[in-house]
Amino acid sequence: MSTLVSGSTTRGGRRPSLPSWDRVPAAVRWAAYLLLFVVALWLPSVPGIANVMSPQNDWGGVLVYPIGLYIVMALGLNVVVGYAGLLDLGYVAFFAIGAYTVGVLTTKYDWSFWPALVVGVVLSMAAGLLLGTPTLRLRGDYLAIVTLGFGEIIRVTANNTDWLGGPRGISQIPRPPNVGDTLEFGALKAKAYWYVIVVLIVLIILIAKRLEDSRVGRAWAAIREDEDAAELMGVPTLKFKLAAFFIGAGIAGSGGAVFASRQTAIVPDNFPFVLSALILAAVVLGGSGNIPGVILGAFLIAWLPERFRQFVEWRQLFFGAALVLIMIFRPEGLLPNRQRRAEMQEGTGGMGSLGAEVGPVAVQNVEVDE
Amino acid sequence: MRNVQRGASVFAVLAALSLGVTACGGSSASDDSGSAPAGSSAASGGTGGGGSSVNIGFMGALTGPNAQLGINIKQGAEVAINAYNASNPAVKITLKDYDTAGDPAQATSLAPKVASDKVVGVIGPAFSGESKTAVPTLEEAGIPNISASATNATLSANGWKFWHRVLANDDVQGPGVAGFITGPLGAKKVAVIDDQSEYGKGLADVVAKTIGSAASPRDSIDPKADDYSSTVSKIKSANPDAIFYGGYYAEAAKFVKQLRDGGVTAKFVSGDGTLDQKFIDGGKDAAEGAFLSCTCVLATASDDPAVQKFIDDYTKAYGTGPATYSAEGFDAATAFIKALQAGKTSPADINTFLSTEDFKGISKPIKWDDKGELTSGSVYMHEVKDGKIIALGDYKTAKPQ
Repeated sequence: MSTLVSGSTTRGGRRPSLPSWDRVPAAVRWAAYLLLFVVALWLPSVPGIANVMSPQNDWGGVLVYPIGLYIVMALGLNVVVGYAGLLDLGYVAFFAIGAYTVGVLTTKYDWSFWPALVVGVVLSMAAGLLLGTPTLRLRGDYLAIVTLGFGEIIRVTANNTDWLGGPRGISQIPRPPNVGDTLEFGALKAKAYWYVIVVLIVLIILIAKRLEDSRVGRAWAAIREDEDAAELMGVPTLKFKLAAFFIGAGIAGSGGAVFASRQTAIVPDNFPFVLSALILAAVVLGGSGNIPGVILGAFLIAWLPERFRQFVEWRQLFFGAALVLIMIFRPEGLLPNRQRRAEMQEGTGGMGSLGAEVGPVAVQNVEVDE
Repeated sequence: MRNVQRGASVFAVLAALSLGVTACGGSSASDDSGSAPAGSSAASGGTGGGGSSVNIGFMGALTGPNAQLGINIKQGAEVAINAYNASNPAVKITLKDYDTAGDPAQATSLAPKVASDKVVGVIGPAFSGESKTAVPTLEEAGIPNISASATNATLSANGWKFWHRVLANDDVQGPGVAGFITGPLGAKKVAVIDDQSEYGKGLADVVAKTIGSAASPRDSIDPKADDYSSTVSKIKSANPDAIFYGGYYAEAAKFVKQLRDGGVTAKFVSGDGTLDQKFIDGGKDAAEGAFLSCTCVLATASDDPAVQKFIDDYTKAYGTGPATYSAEGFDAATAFIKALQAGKTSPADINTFLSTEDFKGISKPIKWDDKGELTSGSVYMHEVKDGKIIALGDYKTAKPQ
């Protein structure tokens, strides 16, 4: 996949030999999915994998956080950015709300983890609606600024609220109850968390995929392409934008809930702006709007810095350089969404119509492709 | 609709299968990363003789914004370990680094690695935040750990059996530094400022509570901002005799500079987070005359031969004198070395041995109670004089120079 591809090759020039995935019989497709699922579950215990993937750190632990939870968050943000084209820079706020909900309910009210997780998801969704209702009338850069502010508001509020522990955060968050002897949740037993995350990811993919192929997904695509045209054609844009926002928020909330229980102690500093930026980078880098791409992007964003631990102070530099290189050679992402690539070639900067057209840059790439 | 049903049924199958898979996979419990039963095979087969060695881990920030403190601890520990290894002991020590960058989230995933590396003891975790997230793992793995710098008071209330620290906590430091401000320093009115961090706010709260009504104004600065003028003008109009700042050296340097530029002449007092040469490098002349408290003891020229030897060895090895927490790092390493010298090589035995230890460390007497706190912690004051930090001794008797 490392072939140098300029931004204006014709479509289909990349993988001519493979038949389109949509045309493969359903049985074969589901068998492949099942195989993937089993492989994913097997990942932490593949013999010898730890030394290859994470020689400097605990592979099971790294799989859960950052890798697993970054994937969860990236899938959620993909609904917001990839499908509906809403640039959200405060996404970590919903992750924080999920984490804090579980923290508060389990430590202050003695709830068990699972019901707390559900409430965490619901509260994150509510926060998504709360933020979305007044702000989703904005577009592009303006929406980005508002969401950025929201992300900071949540963190600073948590930092200044004594009831939430202030800067000390919440500690001694209980782990989920063990399921028999096979699923033990413990500090050294990261595997059970990984299984929970894999199941969560499967659920999220199912939901996102069904939505994408439905009327809702088409409405999102229309909004992404041209909001005014969509509105004129009778798509109730605000309603669908809100839907994208609160589905994305709920997904982040579920990730945050697992995070809180895994860490057993959370502080406001766990939820900095840079995390929002990283997740957005994961989505764009992997291929906005394309689920396998987003998963790959999140994996790289999470795994590269861990893998290069031995370079100590240089690792962030390598990481940044790798991101820059990938974006230069694959501006539409590593595994782009076909529709998105077409958009790129039409020259809307690859973010759909975020209301912020990348004017001169886009014009360079315009090619009438008939 | 049929599609939805098909998807749902497939998912149900997947879910059922996943449980099945985990049921099969989980039956061999030993494939869990690092679930080595504590104290069984964890020590690398010490068959006696000069060939065996054990791993001791250092866990803390070696990169990131507060890396200096982690490096100080590690170098202090290395001085002790290198001297021990050079004495040709039966069991040598290999020091392994676990760099958390001071980030609690990274500490969580690093801690299991410590367990799977068959480490028999950990010097660290360095900071309070990462202790909260990493120690439960070390506890579960049964690995004794000694922190050389985590001072958060609540840490010892968790019922941890394998956790220790070689300095007193913030509940001791706060009243101590408050006693110094109102006692030897003779301040009547004290402004108490913090940086909203877990450590800074915690310490400032205790100081303010101890001083009582004389503590005003009580305010916070935003560590990410560069301009503290609103706080400075608040302090200037209140005209206190002293200012206590809870926070780390980088902001403290900026803050003290702006205070002096704003014409505030009150004495500047801060805690162990500020006790670093970098505070003076950043604050320049404004840092002159500042008082810094610590439950640690900064090793400065001493008539105690053990301390002097430590300073000489440290300076020879690293080209600079010992800094904040270096002496504590040395003492933490010494505690493990004493256990090894007594022939204890499994984590459980070492932990049992730690609870019986009672020796004169180079920073202070080391003896732990059942919670892992020192039985004899005190607060020691330091002053910035001629661009250097000098030790003034115990807070009750410290004389401002």
